[in-house]
Amino acid sequence: MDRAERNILTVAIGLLLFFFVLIVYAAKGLKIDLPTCVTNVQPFREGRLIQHAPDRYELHAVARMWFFDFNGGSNEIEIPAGSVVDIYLTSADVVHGMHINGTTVNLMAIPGTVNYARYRFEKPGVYHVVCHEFCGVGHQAMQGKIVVKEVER
Amino acid sequence: MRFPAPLVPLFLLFLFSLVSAQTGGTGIPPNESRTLGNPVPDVVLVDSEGKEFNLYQLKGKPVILSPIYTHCTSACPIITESLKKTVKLFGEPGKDFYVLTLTFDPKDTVEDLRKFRVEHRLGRGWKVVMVKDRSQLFKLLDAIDFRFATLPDRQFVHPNLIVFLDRDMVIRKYMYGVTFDRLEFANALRIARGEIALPEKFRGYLFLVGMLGFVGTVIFTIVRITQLRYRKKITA
Repeated sequence: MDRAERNILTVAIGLLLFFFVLIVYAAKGLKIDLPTCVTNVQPFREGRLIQHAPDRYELHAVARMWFFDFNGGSNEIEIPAGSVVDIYLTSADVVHGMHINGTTVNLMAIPGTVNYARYRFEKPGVYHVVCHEFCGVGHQAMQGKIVVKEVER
Repeated sequence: MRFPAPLVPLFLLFLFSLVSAQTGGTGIPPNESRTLGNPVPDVVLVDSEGKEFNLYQLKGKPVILSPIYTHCTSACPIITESLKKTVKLFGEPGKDFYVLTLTFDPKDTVEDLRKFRVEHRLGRGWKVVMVKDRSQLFKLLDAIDFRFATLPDRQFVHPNLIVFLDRDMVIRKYMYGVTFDRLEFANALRIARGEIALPEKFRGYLFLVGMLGFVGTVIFTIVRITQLRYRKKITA
């Protein structure tokens, strides 16, 4: 092998290792949560927002053609800023996606399974939720809203 | 038949994913890398007699924490019964260590705790407790990374586990399942008492060494194969 070629290969391998270590280190530091498929939860049929504590919620979201059911048929929910929400998502019909704009939450809604992610909504505002998986003629209208209200102290 | 060279890294990745896949248990298992070595918060607990006390009042002895919910008809009673059997072999709760059966159901009451305690005939040293304040409850559950999903009729999906805290309320070990292996339990208790086995000390470093070794080997394999092909081409 040519010397220059060998050198560049060595540098490339070195960089690869460096970046890999950096990724692992950063991922641990950032506490990146990966979406989890919960295999032993019976997929629910109706959306529900459950409040466990003043800043603690569980959202059982059902995606269906062509809307998100977040709470008893409503595609809009309100929570106080600083709330931690455990999001469980399933689909009642075909494969959908759920992306909460401005957050790292991006889940697939697959019939028969439940996907999970946890998110802390720190900033007050309106978080739009969209379906990011083409699911039929009404796909572009499939959306929801999470309103995060400022907490009066 | 020759194994196609480009598939080697893919095959290794597949093996790695198999090894690192989370197995067993129910619900969402805790991420131990985030919790081990951290102290739990000092929350106010209420026992089955309605008596309030701080968790840190138990400092000085290891604590075995068993998160359950009192209305459970499946895993929680089994966890409690098998814990009762295993604990008996290692000492007396309240004297040698503390055993806390903690309800994570935010709606449980002192009456529910009392009923659970009577049903399972738990001794005096064994505490069945709830956290007084709901926000504090989730602080404690977050500290041990215990996550649950609510089902209809006050049922929950949750991981089956017990947590070992040392005498300073630092999380030292998790044990999974609804029954508890005697040897594994003994090891966990040793760790909670501060008698750390040698491999446990280096566990954190072993992960990094393994990861680097794995990536290094993958890269070496790819480079080696590329070199061989290159040489073959030149000689041909």
